[in-house]
Amino acid sequence: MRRLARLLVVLCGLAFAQVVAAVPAAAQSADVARKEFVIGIAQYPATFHPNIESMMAKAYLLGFTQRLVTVYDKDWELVCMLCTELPTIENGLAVIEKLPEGTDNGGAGENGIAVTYTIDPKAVWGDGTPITTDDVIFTWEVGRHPESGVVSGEGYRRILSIDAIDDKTFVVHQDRVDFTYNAMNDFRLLPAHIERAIFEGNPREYRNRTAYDTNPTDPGLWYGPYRVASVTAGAEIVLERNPNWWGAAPAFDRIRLVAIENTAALEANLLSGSIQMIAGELGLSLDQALAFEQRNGDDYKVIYKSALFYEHLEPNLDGPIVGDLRVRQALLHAIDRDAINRQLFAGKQTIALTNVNPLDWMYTADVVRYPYDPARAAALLDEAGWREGPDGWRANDAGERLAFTLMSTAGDRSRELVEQVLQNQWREVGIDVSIRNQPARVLFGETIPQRKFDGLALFAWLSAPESVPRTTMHSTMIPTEANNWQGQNSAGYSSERVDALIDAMEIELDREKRGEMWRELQRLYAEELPAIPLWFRSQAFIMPTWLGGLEPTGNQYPTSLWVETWSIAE
Amino acid sequence: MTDLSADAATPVAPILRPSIGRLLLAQPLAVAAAFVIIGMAVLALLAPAIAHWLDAPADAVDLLGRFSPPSPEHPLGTDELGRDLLVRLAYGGRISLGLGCVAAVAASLIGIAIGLPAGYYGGRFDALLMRVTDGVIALPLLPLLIVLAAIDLGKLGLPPEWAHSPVASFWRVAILVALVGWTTVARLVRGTTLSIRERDYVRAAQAIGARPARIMLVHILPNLATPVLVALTLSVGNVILFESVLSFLGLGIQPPWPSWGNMLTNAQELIWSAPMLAIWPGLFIFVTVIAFNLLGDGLDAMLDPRGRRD
Amino acid sequence: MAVFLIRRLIDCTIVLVVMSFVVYALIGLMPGDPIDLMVTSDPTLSAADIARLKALYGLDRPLIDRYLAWAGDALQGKFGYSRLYVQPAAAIVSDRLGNTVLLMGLAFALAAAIALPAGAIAAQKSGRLADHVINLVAFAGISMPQFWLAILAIIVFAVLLGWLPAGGMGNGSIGDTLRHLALPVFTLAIASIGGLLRYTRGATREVLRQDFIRTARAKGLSESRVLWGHAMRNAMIPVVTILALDFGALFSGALITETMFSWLGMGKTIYDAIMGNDYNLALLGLLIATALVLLCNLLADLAYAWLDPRVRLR
Repeated sequence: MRRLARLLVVLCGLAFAQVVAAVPAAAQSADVARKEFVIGIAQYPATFHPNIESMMAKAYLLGFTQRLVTVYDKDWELVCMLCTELPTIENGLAVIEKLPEGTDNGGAGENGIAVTYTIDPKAVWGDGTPITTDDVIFTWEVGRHPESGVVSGEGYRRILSIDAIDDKTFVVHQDRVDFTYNAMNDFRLLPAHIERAIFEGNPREYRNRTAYDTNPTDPGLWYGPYRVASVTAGAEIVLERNPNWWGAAPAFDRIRLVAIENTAALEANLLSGSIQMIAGELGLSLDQALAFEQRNGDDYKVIYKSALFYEHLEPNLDGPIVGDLRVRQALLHAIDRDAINRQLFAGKQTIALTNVNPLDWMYTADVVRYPYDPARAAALLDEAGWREGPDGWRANDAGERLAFTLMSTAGDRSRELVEQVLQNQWREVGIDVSIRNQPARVLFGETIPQRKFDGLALFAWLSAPESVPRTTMHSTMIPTEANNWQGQNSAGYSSERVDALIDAMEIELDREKRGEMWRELQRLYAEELPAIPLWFRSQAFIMPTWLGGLEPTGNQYPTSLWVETWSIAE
Repeated sequence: MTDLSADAATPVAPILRPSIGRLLLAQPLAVAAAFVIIGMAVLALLAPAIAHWLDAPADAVDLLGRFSPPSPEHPLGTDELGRDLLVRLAYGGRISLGLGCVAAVAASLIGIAIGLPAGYYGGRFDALLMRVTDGVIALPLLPLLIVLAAIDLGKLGLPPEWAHSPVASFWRVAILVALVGWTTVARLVRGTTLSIRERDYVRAAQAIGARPARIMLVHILPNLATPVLVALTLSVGNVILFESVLSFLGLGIQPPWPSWGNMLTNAQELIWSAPMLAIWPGLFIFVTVIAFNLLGDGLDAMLDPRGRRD
Repeated sequence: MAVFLIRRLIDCTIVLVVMSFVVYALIGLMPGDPIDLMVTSDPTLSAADIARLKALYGLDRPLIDRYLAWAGDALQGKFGYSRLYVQPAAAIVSDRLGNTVLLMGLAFALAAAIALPAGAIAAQKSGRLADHVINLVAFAGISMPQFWLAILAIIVFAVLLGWLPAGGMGNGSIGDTLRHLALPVFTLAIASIGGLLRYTRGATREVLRQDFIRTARAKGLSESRVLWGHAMRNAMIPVVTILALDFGALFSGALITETMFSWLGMGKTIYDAIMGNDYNLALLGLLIATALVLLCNLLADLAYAWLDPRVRLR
């Protein structure tokens, strides 16, 4: 027995020595990266199909392997990617037309618009088959079909018909005229020559049988600078150069996307060299990245970019406390957002005045400001009937204490820090705020949509460049049991003027006039505070020092869409 | 052939031998462990006093004093929000130790209540209880935890201010641990009961006609005391570790209440920039858990009714 | 014996059925289905879209109906598609099960190989320095939170020393897989050694006090013969049962370790499936894990009865 034990120990030692001896060099150098560049991401995409389920991880992957028809670039301008010329009313490629009799567009006017696109003549799928209007029409059919599993059907339903002029040119007839008439960003093309047979065979089972998941390495599915070479489900995706890519050649032969969920492990993997870059779109949190830069700033390049995540405090306007405008104004005066930003985030967040991002063209800073002013906050609270008591807390005449709950997502360290600072600062003016966090699925699945919170909820909305806040501000978008909790106006904000503005803005094609409306909307927002603005969250992109050309957009379109501009500096 | 009369005359409960001093000396590790635990408990109890003495309440945020190194005002430095680390560790001890003891005791009681009858009666009854045990072991904790996290206690008739306070999260975790933690004790108790049941003095008691309840309580239960006590001290340690895992998953004690577990989880990402924030709670957990383990181990040796080796 | 086995099998089946329902119900009761969550992340989704998607995934039917439909299919061996990975659930489970067996098996073997002899030696030298040292070291291993140990191991061995990879599963070759297994196996083994060692030590000490040991010593046998030849065989009885029980737990994987090291095993798979409301995958995974636990419990009871003639199986 003892001899056996000794033998085992020796064997273990040998095995360990063997394992340790086979040590590869850390892949840090640019030369090695040219062959294979390894990027760490914090999540693995569930399905590779472009239109079923939307996930950042998938959008990131698709950025390397596909291209959008149109997109918002880093200057937040709408540009063509697959199309040759952006159709506008000015250049005649978009023509307003009267809708056919009996068309129901939900009351969006009598006119539709016919928009003409031409696909790049060089565009081909990865197996050499040209990308044609047949693919466009097929994609639309799938998108319209009620059982295909496509998530967001609205965009497809607004298309009345598509005319194929020739193999590369098509005309889209839309059921309404709004200023986003020429944006085909989320219309991601599907290869008809591969998918049509699968889809028409059994539309109901399409989402399980799609080649994107059953055969992801088929080159015909991909048409970007890279295509999928191999997949280890749940762990990593290997991309290789697409020989049929018609654009500029990218710098790397292969790219490997490795999914590591735990952010501490993600960081450790970067430091140990098993990955070379952490994707900013789904990587470390801002304060983690700041700490990382502080220690390793010499060995890595870190780029920060403000993104369209509007972090705010959503009040339940039906509540007796936060429903009072003066209380909301006081709450905003009582917190020092600049100090929080400086101390917790090294000033990298962008303080928000309203829900419009400063990088948006229609942004205006000419609105009511709420600087840090505890005295003013106290005055407002007194005015609202909440007087400070001997114990330091405020109460009204009925003796009820000024107290409410602040809710947010459990397990999010940055938010927990912010919550605790806010709680402290509000305590200084006598407001008793208790923190109650829930897992994201509970908070976003039930509590917020069903408006089960009595005070404030701290979270972020993700939006797009110049996105009209219909779902968050229009009075018809208040989630109620009657409409099955649809709509994102969980604050319960209702204003006739704002409703009218939103309705008018969507169909205003003249940019000047629209700008005027936006400015008025922002002024009203700051005056009426349907939510308490905090900041727009920034993302941190951590990359090797020799990598150039990577420019974060700040909007929801990932940097991988421009991978052919990434360069290796010598 | 064993001497039946000798066994039947064996005292039914273990008697601590008079020479406690010798006992203690033979278990230096256990004694040291006991002192450590007492020390931790004292620290936890004195938490408000420490906060008062340092004039640093556990949730006093100081944005300008983040991550400051140890100083006379803050003996262990401050954390990521400028709060005093020592005070938070002390308050955290209250939560972690309190949770450990409460949950472990509750789990043990349930475990005995299930394991003892199962082992004694055997047969279908035993089979049923053991299958239930197996089922509970296999039950996934996570959906249970999420559902519990989502239940609005206010709706269950409890006063809303209490239901939404961090106190509720304490009891949520404690109840959950008790509900799923009894299985180890139950299995242990059942196994030991199975063996003891076959012993001659138990058979003798049965032959005399004693009622099962009496046999279980008077003959078997005292002999369970040692293994259960040992299992209990071990499980306090496990509960403290479990609490830190819950915090890791985002389901533990919620802020701003500190617990060693959530302090450790928050410090994971800071391990390069502020290692002491991670080392202190980790150290406290480590030392406390190992102390409970050693204590249990020492108790095992001390209370063994068969006497010690010569 | 046959009666015992048949009764046990019936009991196991009942447990599996009840557990499948409880799990299904728990997942269904969890607030926030992924489809509901889509509303907050995609403002263009309308109520009609939500209703359509729910109908497509069968979520508009009441829980009982869904469960019965699933159960009916399961009995025929059709375990459906995983919602998370868009592959047949059975394919994913079998893949991950293999990974788990590899990881846990190695960790288990390593832990047993160290804990059993060490526990026996500690019992033999009870009260002396060797006993205390072994004890302390063993307890140190089980007194740290798993995720903590994992991140420390990664930092020391992967970042600072650069000897081993920080995570992942390797490129498939045996050498590379072993390299990627080293740290997770090490972390898991450390956690198991303490528990096993205590049991072995306790059981061996118990046996060493028995009369027959005194007899063996009186006959003039050396201490090591006494220990390994006579004592251990009896001490193994409770130890084997513990080993069998732990072996059963092996199949449910180790969630924390798998998360930290990105090792695709059953623990993480089941967790992700539950959190993602992937009923098919979660239930199949849990059923397999539970069935294996029950099987190992049965084997443990059989072993216990076989090894200890005083115990009768009823």
